[in-house]
Amino acid sequence: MIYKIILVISWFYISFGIIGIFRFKNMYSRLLTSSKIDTVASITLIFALIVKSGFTPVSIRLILILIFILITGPISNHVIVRSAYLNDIPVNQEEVT
Amino acid sequence: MYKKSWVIDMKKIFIPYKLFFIVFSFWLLITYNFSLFNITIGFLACIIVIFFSKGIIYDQNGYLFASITALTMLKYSFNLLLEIYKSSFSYIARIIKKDCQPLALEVELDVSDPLIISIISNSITLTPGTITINVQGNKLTILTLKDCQDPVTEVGTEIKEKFQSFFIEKG
Amino acid sequence: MFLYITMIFLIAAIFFSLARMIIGPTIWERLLALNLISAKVILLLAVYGVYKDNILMLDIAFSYGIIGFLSLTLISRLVLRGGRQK
Repeated sequence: MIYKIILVISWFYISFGIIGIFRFKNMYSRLLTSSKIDTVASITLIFALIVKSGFTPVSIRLILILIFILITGPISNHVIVRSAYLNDIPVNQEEVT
Repeated sequence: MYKKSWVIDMKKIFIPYKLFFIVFSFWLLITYNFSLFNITIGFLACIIVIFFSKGIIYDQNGYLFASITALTMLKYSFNLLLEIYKSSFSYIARIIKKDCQPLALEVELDVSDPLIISIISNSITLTPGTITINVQGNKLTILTLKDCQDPVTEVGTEIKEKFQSFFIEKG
Repeated sequence: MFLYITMIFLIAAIFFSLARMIIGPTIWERLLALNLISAKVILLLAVYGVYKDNILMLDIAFSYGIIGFLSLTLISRLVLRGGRQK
């Protein structure tokens, strides 16, 4: 019964991540928004699945997947933003299209 | 000149027990199979992996970075989860208002250990609203969204007292 | 039932990210959409594994995550080096 509430919270986060992609006009704002809300959504959803499945081998795999997401998610966002920043895209530029 | 570096001095040999236990427990957790055959294969694979990772993680004299105890790591990750959820609420409000500009600023840390610097910059990227762009020595370049009324300089000191003070008082 | 609705949400999110990948003006937004799709597919596989009570799906999710991370890092390094055209 608890996991249904946490799942509803994760739907909330997923839909705000999608809104954040299409709403901003600057490129760096989009990069900041979408990836961050996405991390919170994945933490919440996997936590709900752990609560649902109890203490079984399934939940141990889920904890390993959660640790994996927490380590590699920031690295991939950092690599994307760094390659945009080192190619001299100005930070305060309004997107044309 | 070619030196015989493979001749091992028996007094100076360093065996990383901690690394072996961590790698072997990951093997047991992922396969989840406790037969004798599986345990033997895992033992051999862990020894091979640790033998080839010499010079990357450990050296002749010990580990290449300061070790962090498990209790500090547990407390730190609990604190990090709290921070993530706290800042995600303020970020959703910023999505709805939509009137903000990004900017880049520099923060200089006081620690110099590479493991602690990488943990701090990774957790800065993990909290919503900030991304670490570049690291040189102990100087981080951080991209954030400017709140249009607030003064800019608060973000650096806030990050410092949020994450860095946690490691300094532990040593 | 709740897991079913969650899967529908994730599939809709994948399609919206695909739209961002098609209309995105610069190459970094396409990379961003690739990152989002990879994370969503990991979550979709995990939810499906719990829904069917099938433990092999979680292993597939784990290896999919490793492949997505490696491909994204390599493509981004190529773009940083200059690529074929900026």
